[in-house]
Formats: sequence, structure tokens, C-alpha cells
Amino acid sequence: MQTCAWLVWHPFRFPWKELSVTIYKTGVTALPITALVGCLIGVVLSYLSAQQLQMYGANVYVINLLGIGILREMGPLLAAILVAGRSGSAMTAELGAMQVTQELDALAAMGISVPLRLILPKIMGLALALPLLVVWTNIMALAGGMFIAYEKLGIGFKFFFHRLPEVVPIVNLWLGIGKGVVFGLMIALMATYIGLRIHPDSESLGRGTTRSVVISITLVIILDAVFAVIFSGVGV
Amino acid sequence: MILPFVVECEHVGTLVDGNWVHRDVNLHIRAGEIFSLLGGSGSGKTLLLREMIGLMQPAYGEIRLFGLDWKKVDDKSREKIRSRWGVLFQQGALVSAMTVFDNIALPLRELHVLDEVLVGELVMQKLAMTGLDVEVADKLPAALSGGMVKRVALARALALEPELIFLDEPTSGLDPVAGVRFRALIEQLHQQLGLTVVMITHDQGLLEGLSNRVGILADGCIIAEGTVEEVKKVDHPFIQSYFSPELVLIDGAED
Repeated sequence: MQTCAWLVWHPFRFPWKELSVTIYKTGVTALPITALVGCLIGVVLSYLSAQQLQMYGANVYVINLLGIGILREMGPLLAAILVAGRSGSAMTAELGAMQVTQELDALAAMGISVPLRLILPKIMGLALALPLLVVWTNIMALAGGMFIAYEKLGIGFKFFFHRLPEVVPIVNLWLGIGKGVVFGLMIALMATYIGLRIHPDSESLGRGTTRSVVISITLVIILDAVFAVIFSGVGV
Repeated sequence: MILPFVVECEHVGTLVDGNWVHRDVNLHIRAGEIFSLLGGSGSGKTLLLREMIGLMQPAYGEIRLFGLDWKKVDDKSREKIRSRWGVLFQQGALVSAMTVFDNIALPLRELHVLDEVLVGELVMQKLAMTGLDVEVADKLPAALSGGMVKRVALARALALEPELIFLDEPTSGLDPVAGVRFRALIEQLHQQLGLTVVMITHDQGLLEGLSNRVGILADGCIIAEGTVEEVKKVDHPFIQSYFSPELVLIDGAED
């Protein structure tokens, strides 16, 4: 809080460099893994629904299923879980290791604010990077699903593209992106909080990193359920 | 001429996890001194150092740095004395994600007043001062030996040209030769820059060869203070076991 107030008075001291490092580390480097996982989940979803829908001759509804399922649920959830696993743990471990080596003390002794330079950019960076990753995961999952829809059900890409915005309200996409922001904030808050509470020994470091991942993923799923209840009437 | 006090501890008490580590610590260190703080492990030397540099607040008592009470200090006066002291942590505590150059430049850049050319010159000057080669500048701390890490950390502590420097076990983890070299470096810097040095050490060479004054921390207070010769005469189990020629270990000295 104090840090935020200070920043209002000193806008030029904003840690831009640290922010961009976080976005690169949590966002850019996560592109391949989220693409792979997203695409495969899209394929699986499409495959399963294709088999069921074929029985009723409701082939065309695969677009509804994929659209809502991915944009609203799977995209944000997958991206958040992957990020919690790779970036949440990395943040906790980084801060914990800095605690072990007294780097945090050294920074504080030099008058460098740890909340401003290490914590704030991580939280803001992840709150920015995760929604972008959600969009990316959405695209890849839809692409995977679209491919299977074509293979199994003979739904052409062009038709898929036309039909998607007609049957899936755009609010689902925004809902997914909004979830991305909230998940990102939550993962970074949890990771940095646990990281700063690590005691200077290696056992505590390992335990803290594990806890950070487990708690983040659990909280992501709980929050996702809360979202589902709150927004049950929106966009379906 | 009597020089002013730079570090003062008055009736300091520190509570950690329900234990009173310090009960009544009184210490006064004058400008230009080389002061060594000695004590068994667990006696709270590093805690006291952390309190002196404002990373921790004692439960009671007063700690003053350049006459400023850490408890009452505001951001402005903290900034003002910021460049007057530096600290060398036990393991160096270099920022592992930054090169040696950036590590030493860090406190300089934090001032937000120097341009990059001047920062570069100052960093090179500090490197030379601590006996490091220019090639070291581009390396990451992980690629350095223990002795070099300490030298870089010392260079960083000296970056703002402080009057006072805190050293936490400056020679621990160094081999004897590197330890002697590091001691010579501290002595040389003390003479050249007129630094006040406050250090925690177990190193007999540093104690007897370099320190003007020694303070011994045991049982939560300073049990003896003075020159090494004076301190040696004090009758206390820790002191007797520490300075005895045979180094007989007495119960309680190593807890």
C-alpha cells in the first residue's frame, strides 16, 4: 500500500525493467508449453464431444461446446495451472534463495525497496502476462478442436469461423480474460508471500516452493468455481 | 581530540522466538576505530549488526548511527546517512542475477544523480581499490571464488565512499592465505580512507593484528570491552577458553 502511494509521487521510479523481465519470464517463455497443452486439450475435447454428438446427429453443436468450454473454462484454467507450476514456483524459489543468501538484506541495507523492486513488478507482470497467455491458449485449443471437428465431423474451417461468433457470446472471451487477470494476481501474491516467509535454510526453501505451487493451483480451482457460480447467468 | 561516536547501543534488548538474545547491550564506537565484536555462536552478534544497520529493531533500548536513532528516523534522514555507511554480509550477498559491474554500480545508480560514464569510472576505481581485475566486471557472482565474492561485496560496500563499514565475518570461508590478504586489504583501506570499521570476527589474526578495540558479547550483554590485552585479562569462561593457548573447550562456549 505504502509502495503504491510512494509511486504516485515518484512515477519515474517505476520499475519498468523489472516489470518487463517478469512479463518475458512468465509470459513469453511459457508460449510453447501452453500452446502444446492447449492444442492437445482442444483435440481431446473435440474428439470426445464429436463421438457423443454424432450419435444424435448434432454435429454442428461441437462449435458451441468448444467455444464456450475453451474460452470460458479450459483456456484460463490451463494457462493458470501451467503458470502456477512454472512461474509461481520460480518466484517463490527466487525470493527464498535471496533470503538464504542475504540478498534481500543487502538490498534493504542499500536502501532499495524490496516491495517496490521485487514484489510489485512480479504481481503486476503476472496480472498482465496471464490474460495474454489465456488468449494464446484459447487460440491454440480452438485450433486443435477445429482440426478434429473437420477430421471427424467434416465441419469446414470457414464454417467454424463463421459459426463461432454466432453461437458463443463474446462475453465468454472477456470472462476468460478477466479470470486470467485475477488468477495472475493471486498466483503472484501467493508465490511472493510464501517466498518472503522462507527461513534461511534449504529445507524451508524446498517446502516453500512446493507449498506455493499446491496452494496456488488449489486456489485457482476454487476461484474458478466461485467465478462459475457468480457468472452462471452470463453469456451461456 | 576526541572523535564523535558513530555507533551507539544503549541498553539494547532483543527478543527472538521467545528468547532474550540481548538483555542489556551497551556499545560505543568512535570514528576511526577498528572495532571487533566477538562472541560464541548464538550469542547474537549478527543480530546486533542487523540492528545497527536498521534491518531489525530491538525490543527495547536505543541504537544510534551517526547520532540518529533508528527508532525515530524518518525516510529523509535515513537517506542522508545512507551513503555514510556500507556493509559486507557474511556470504557476500551479491545479487546473483547481476554481473559484478552491476552489483557494484547498484548503490550508485540508486542515487539517481550520476550518469553512466561516471558510474562506470567509479565502479572501475572500486574494483582496483579492492584488488580485482577489470575482467571480473562482466562475470556473474556464481563464477567467482569465495575470496573474490568477498572482494566484490567489499567494493559494493565502498561504492558510496562511506565513513563507516560493517563487516560480518570478513575472513570466514576463506583459506588462510586469502584471509591474510583480505586482512591486509582492510588495513590498507582503513589507513587510506580513514574508515571506521565495525566487524564480527573469530579470526585471531584480525583480532590481534588489526583491531583497536574488542567487545565481547556473551550472556546477552557486552561482558568485556577494550584492547585485546585488556580483554584477555577478564575472568569469564568464554574469554578464558577463547584466548587460552591450548584452546580448551569449556561447556557453554560453543552453544
